[in-house]
Amino acid sequence: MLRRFALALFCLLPLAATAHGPSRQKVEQEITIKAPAAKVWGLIADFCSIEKWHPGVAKCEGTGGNAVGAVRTLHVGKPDGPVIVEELLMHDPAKMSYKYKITQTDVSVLPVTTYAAFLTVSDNGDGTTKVVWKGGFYRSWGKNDPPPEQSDAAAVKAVTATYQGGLANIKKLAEQ
Amino acid sequence: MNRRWPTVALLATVGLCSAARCVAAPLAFVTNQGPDTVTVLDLATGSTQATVAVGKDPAGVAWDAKHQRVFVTNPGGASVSVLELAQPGQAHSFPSGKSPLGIAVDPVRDRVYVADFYDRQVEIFSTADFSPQGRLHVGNTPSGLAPSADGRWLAVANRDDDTVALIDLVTGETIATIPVGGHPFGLTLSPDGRTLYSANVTSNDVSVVDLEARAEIRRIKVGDAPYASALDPTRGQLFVTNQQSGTVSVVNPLTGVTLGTVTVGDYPEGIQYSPSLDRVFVASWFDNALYEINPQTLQLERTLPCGDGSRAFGVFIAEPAARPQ
Repeated sequence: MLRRFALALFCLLPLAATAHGPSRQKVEQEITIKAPAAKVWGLIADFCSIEKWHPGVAKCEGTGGNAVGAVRTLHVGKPDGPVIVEELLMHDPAKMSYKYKITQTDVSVLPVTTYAAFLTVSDNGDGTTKVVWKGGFYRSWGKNDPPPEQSDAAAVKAVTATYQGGLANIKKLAEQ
Repeated sequence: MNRRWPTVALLATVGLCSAARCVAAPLAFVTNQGPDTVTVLDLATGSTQATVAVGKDPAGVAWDAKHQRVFVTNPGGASVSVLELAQPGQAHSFPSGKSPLGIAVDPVRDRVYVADFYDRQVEIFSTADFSPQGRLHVGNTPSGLAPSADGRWLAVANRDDDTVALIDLVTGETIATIPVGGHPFGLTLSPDGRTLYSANVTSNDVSVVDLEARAEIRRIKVGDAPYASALDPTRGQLFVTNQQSGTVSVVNPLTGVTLGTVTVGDYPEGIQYSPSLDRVFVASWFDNALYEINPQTLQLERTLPCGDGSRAFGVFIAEPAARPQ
């Protein structure tokens, strides 16, 4: 995914936040990790810790910590790479879960709009831990006949790759 | 009061249609975006009667009581599917626009209205033979549709214009364009036809529109990203799905007072009140189920599994044609 992000650095297209396709899309990915839940949550609990555990995020600039309304600005692929801005909607350490939305994206790396997602850690009770990342969003193209790179399928593919890449690396870090 | 009317009693009191073809107990037709199906649920028993293949990404739904059939919009397939009650388990389709979404049956004429999400128009089809009957010109991204009970006009949510338009169904002219909250989506009419409620996705509220004054008279705060609403006319409670909160807000639309908040599955979308069961039913898009709310206690009672991406945007409950005394 790093490669995918890196290839698209030059193309910065801010999105109109309102226009979108007629059908919301969903992606849900999960991974089982051989590590205690508290350790896994500790890796990802901080909203801006994503720069440490997501291979596609080169840099995160955060304001507001883990309070509702906190904002993280992600630079994709390299420190001056395409920018995605996200806002924290819910952060619950007791439930080991947080929810955020995208307030600004770059369609060259993530062709979505009206995107919100949960990242949730749960203890399987057998020494292993489950992490679920699930999001709902629309394709970025807000008219009929989307170009292939802004279709529903392209949006789902990009989000799926983002979740799979992040979860795989959380597992790798937690099991070290 | 026995809320679950015996099937036999209902069959004996059916008015418009012959008993063999009529809905005997309330049925829900839930559109499932993922598998391109409609789940047909018997709401009295909670059992799934059929899972019917329709067009791509089914979303909107409209029950046609006169013909005892259901119309379903397929925005991904540019078509409308028809489920005949007399032929359970199968559907047939006809082409409609490019992104058909909102849909409503004319209470008087043999017509169904289909909103083309991107093409500033509402297409009209015959509910008898499905032939095209022309189109209505509307605003940007028409979404929810609500025809008046007397068939004089159609309310259209012009989502990206932040307005609700009233269209004269005889002349096709726009009678009024009424500013409401941000991105109105689902529309609900009061039983007396004098008040319209629009769920406003981006302003997180419901607009109360006085249809005689043709003006918004109240704005009621609800949860995050409201989608659609349903009225319980007995208690005067409006139920509103909040997509991003995963809740249903219960408000008094006359006073604006919040009466409760019911947690349901993630991304609740379509919602409808069933008078025969005295229950509210809510489709949850992320959790693939229909949730049942008791409007008296405001508690969740049953969760009925549906297919992936349950939407049920529109009149998705088929009520028996008549009720016993």
